[in-house]
Amino acid sequence: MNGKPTFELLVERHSRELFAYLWRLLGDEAEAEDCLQDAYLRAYRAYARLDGNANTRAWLYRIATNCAYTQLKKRSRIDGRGAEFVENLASGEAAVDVQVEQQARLAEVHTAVMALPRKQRAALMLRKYQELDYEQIAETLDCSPEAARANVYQALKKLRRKLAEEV
Amino acid sequence: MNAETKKDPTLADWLGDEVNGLPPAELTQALDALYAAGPGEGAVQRAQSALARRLEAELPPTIYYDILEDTPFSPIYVAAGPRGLVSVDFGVNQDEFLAYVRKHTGGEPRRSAERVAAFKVAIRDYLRGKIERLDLEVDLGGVSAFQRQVLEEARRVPRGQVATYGEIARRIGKPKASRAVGQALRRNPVPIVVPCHRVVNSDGTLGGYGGKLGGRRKIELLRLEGVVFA
Repeated sequence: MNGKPTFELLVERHSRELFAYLWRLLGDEAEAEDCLQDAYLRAYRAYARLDGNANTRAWLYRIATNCAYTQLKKRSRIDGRGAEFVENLASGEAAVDVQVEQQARLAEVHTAVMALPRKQRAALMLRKYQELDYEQIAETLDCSPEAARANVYQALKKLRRKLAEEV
Repeated sequence: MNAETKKDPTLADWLGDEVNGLPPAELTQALDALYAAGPGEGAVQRAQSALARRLEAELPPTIYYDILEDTPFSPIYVAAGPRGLVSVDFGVNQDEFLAYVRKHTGGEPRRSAERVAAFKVAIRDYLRGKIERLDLEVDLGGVSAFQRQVLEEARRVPRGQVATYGEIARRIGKPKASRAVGQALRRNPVPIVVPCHRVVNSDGTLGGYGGKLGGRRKIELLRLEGVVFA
């Protein structure tokens, strides 16, 4: 019996944050729900082979990220979800105080975020909202910590430039 | 690589570079407005429920077991899954018991005194004569429909009484199936709880009983319940 937590504990401890992450990465609640299930099923099948000393949290994030990538591939290129996302936010339970004037602008920001290369968007969300450190992000994205930082930086740079054009 | 990416700056630090663009505060505020709060508690609950249902449907069940000591039939092995008792056994060793559980549930049994405590206590109290009936939740999902009928009918035979194989067969509407009834009872996954020991031959003899010490166990269980066989 090694020191790995039970699979049930992995669900208990991380399902909430993984769902939030998938929602941020995909911008869609239903897709995030499906990916959450796929991720845990994949994790279950691979769990026996996981080293007892592994960082299970980063490992789960990695699986979730790959599930999200698979989901993103299925999407059509023209994806006008920006407005819908912001409407849901304003009218939904997230209790976000979004003024009507802001909505159009936020929709632009969200569209720009969704248009980022997926690795940059993932790195941004992992750093800013999932609060992983660069070692963990590196494990999640299968790159070096420096590359993880660079991805966050590039994401922000790209967003700034794109949104300045639209003012 | 830009020198700036080598430190570990805050987000605000990064945004203070020379690239023309949206003021950093406006961008971070917008990002926070969109993403900081997350999907909302309702969405989280729905996602977690859907996840639980999916895992329950696709993963092998989690089975807990423990060993009941201090009874005339001990050690008694008791295993339960999410829908109730899946196996009760005695007169076997632990490996045999676990192999049986694995085979019949597809799950990997994990020992937990806590999870099967209520079942153990009930069985123990029953064997001590402290309680009359065992109304435990039994998961007969792994047996055939016919076998389930037979076992459920056997459960209706009250303590202190017996029924014949023929009577059980008649009661389930299959009067010619007394031999099949016997076979179904011999494969009872939860003896004592489902009282297959209370089913006997019509000629007054004991009939069969599963397990290595079959006949003796059956006599002992019946005697415990006040039924004496010659």
